[in-house]
Amino acid sequence: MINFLLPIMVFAPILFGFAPLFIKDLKKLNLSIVALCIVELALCGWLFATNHHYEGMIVAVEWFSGLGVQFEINGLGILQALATSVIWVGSSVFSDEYFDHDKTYLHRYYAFYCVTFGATLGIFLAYDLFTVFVFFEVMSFASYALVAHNQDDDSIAAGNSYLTVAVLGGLVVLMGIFMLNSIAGTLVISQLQAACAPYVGTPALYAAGFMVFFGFAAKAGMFPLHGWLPKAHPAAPAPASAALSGILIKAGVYGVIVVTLKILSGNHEWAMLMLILGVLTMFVGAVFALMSINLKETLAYSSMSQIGFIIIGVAMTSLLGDHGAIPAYGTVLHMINHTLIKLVLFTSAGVVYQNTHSLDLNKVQGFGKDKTFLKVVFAIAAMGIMGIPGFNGYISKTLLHEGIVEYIHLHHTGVELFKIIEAIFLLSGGFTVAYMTKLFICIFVKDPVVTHHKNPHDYMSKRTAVVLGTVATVISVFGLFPHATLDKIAAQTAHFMGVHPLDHSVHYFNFTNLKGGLISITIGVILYIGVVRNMLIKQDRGYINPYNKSWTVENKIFRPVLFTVLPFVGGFFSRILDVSMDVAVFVINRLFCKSVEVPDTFLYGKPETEADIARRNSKVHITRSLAYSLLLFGLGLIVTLIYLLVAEFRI
Amino acid sequence: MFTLFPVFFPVLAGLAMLDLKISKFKDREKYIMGVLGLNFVLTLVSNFLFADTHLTFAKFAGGIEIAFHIDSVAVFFSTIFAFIWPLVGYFSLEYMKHEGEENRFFAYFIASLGGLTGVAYADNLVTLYLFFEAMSLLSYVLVVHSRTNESLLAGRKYIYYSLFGASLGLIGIFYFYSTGWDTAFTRGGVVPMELGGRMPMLSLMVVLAVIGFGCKGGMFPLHAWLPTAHPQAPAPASSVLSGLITKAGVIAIIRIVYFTVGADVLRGTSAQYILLTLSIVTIFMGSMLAYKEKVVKKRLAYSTVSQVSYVIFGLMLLNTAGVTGALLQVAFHALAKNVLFLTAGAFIYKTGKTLVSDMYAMGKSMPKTLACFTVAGLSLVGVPMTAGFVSKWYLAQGALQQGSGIIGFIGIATIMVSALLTGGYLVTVTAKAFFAKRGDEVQESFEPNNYMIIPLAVLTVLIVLFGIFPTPVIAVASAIAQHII
Repeated sequence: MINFLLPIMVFAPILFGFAPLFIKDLKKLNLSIVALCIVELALCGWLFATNHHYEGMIVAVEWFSGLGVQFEINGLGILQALATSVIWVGSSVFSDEYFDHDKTYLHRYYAFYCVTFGATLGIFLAYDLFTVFVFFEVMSFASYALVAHNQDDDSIAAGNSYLTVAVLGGLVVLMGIFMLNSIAGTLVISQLQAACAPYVGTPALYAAGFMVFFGFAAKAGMFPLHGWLPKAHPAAPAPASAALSGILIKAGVYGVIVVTLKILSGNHEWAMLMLILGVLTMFVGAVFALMSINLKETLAYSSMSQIGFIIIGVAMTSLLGDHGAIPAYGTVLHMINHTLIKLVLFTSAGVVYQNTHSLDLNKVQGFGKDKTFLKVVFAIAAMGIMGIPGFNGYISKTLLHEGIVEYIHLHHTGVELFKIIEAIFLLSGGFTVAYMTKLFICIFVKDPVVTHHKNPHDYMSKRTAVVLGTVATVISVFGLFPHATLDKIAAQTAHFMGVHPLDHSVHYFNFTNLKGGLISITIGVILYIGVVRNMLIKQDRGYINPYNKSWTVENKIFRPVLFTVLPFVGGFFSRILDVSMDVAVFVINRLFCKSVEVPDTFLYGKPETEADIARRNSKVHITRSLAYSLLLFGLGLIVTLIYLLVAEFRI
Repeated sequence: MFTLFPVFFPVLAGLAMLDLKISKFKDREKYIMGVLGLNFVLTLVSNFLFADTHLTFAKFAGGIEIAFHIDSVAVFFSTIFAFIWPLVGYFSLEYMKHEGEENRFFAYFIASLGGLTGVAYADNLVTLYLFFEAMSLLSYVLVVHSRTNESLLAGRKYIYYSLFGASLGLIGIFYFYSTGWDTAFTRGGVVPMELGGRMPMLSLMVVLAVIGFGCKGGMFPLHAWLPTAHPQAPAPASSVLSGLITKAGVIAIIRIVYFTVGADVLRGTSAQYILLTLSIVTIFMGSMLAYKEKVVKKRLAYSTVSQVSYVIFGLMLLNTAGVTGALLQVAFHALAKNVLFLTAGAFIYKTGKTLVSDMYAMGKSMPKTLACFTVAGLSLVGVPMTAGFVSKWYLAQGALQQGSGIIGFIGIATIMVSALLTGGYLVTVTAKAFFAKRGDEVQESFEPNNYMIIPLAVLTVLIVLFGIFPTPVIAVASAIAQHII
């Protein structure tokens, strides 16, 4: 049964990418895509619920791409596939109204939207890294069309960054996969841990692991490879941003998990590197999110920051080994929770944009003051991401926090670094509270500065409202009844994460755990009052961003190195090699054939001057002509032939 | 004798055009497509019904023979040539309208195919050399077709480099005759394993011959004719020159390395490492200069320099996976590069512009043409689901096999850097063509007619088809690889 099902689930959306060529009516096209997504959602849901039946079943499509792609259902993969379908159902429903104001190139958008969907499912259902890579590349290139869809200055610049990351990241991953294959002899994800174990700690495996990591980390938006992320999210259309932020960056995280827990599993140094990078990603993202004055940019930096939280969870899982169930659950649940929350937040941002045509906080200010439904939905999602008890984000953040605390408990000495990390963790949680409060107060509490003409009852369609309402309900149900929902979900993935399932349930709402959340909330409130209200809001200019946007790692280091320094150096040496033969010809001519002047034209292809032509037509020229040289060449051949014949006779 | 139709029929039928002087477009179309179509059928018949026939055409004093043998390598290459040639011919029917003097062009265009097939069918070094030179001379006329000063100079450069390269090859041939080893191509080579003091000389000769014949394949240091000749030649001529005629150099290298010297003799010698190094240098240099280049056809020419050296790299690895990858690269690069040059041709034909930057914002204006360009570009980068990915995968397998050593690793890393640069010089063009700023887009349609679109579409579909179902081609390539090693 699943022999047919898995390939169809992956390839159907990719093939559906051709549908826009035939279905010209946009309403019908949208409906058919929504229908496709709902079918996929149902299938993913069913497979997730019954996934233990399919353990160890491998579906190989051998003819595909020569080497064959292989699929399987693993706990984390199918969960992410389910999340992917949720995002796609939500954002394709929303696409219909979002693009009402601008239908240019919409067929193209839908085509790549479908291809991205199928490719993303392919990544999560893959059995081996080769399959992951194939679909990862397809996803990267297809989603470029979504990022650059608007074709204005911002989205073209964002698209360029995105494409660079796609090409560069993809090739580095491929190189890593080549090396991994030659070291471990397998690319099967579930066998990698055993196959790589003898080589953990060797430079070759580090190199291979690092290369695979590099490409996925760039896609996940990890520091310092995050440059494309805050550019791409605001530039892409809102439904595409939801997909990017909700799930595409999770594909990167999935790769990082494979590297950390499968390829280099149990390697302390690697786990520490992940931990440091995770902390940096978390904190840098949080700080920038607080400063940003663009609605979607804030959400983008927020995504980056949450990825940092997740990566910390991955690192702690690796550090704790078998006993890493708590951070492992935290990692998985935060991925899922973040997906749901970002679906709501980006869709809300899209609703704001389609009514105001702006994302600038100073222009959209007060938009939602009279829009109760949007206000409630946004508040639920915001409280989810802030980690307010009673919403889903609290559960996963508590688990992640517990992971760090547990490590400190287990190792009594040498844990100063972890205490600092715990502090930064709580501080970043505080930043999350502060920037989400800032967004909420700006859009839903303050008075409008510009009048928004739309009728408060008619600012979004019923269908979108249903999607937002459903997801918001799920967010609160998850948060209120974690034992019945989230714990069960997480337990499905314990095997994949390489941990023993948790035998006792965590008391999320006891004082110790609530304390962590409360510290973050307190920090958040202090930050909001102290920093945002005093320093980031000016009486005369409204919201300000004190940071000079051109000062990014990408602009100041990566771009100059990648596009100026390296091409210059490479180009310089290549050019020398390129002309070496021509120069040699020129020099030999000057040295040995003084009477024959080689015109510059031979070297540079410039047209001949009149003097050249006159000389070419003169009688002397016969000795310099092509025919003459051919003649001499023929003579040489004849002499050789004679020599051969003579030699023959002598024998 | 029938087996030699694919060699002599195009030469005769092509050169007959010089005398027939067909003046009507429709008549010319019938004649050319008839000849090339018939030749395709004849090639298939020769390749598959008369495979593995030996044929001695003429014998000269001193044991010099003109002999042919249709072996698996010959079948592989000549089928590719005979299949793509008619497609390019069909495209040229329209393209050559603006160049004029079609009869002369098509005469030599068709005749070149005969020369090229001769190279593939040759059974010994002398026959190979003969057809190699014949093909150079026939294709010279294609390069200088427009007879402007620039194209004459470019043609001169082309012919000088070709002759010089072939003469280096000739030195190698003389050496082989002087040693008294059999010069007929023999699977596994004719050189005995115990060479003693002759090894350094043999290595030198192999290096010289490969460099010499590698000139046709655009291998450093004799690559410089490519970026000069291509922009001057009419687009269809560049297309076959780059996509197919460069493969003559590859055939010659296969014949020398695998059929004359033998892989076992060369494995681990300095000759192998020198040639691997040269091919790696070429791979990087070509891509880097393509990245820096602003003229479309010149950029594609540098790209060829780089891509054909993937093949040479794969061949010089001297293992099965490497050769499989090399042969796949031959086939898939031929498809992709022909598409790229033909799209460049369509673009030049319709707009009269030659710079890469002129292609920006053209997405709306020539969507079909640029879609083909995109697919071919992705294939050269080696994105999964395009053919180029498959060949790169096998090359990497070959390079990372035990025994390839550090140079294999450097090679595959260079191929990755080159792929990155390929992304930089081709995929960015696509991005800028289709995702130009709104309002800057060229609205006027420059889409060419079916004479140009059909060949492009056929080749592009094949790229994707072989990207998704490459199994038959892989089977053929690896069978040949196992056969010749």
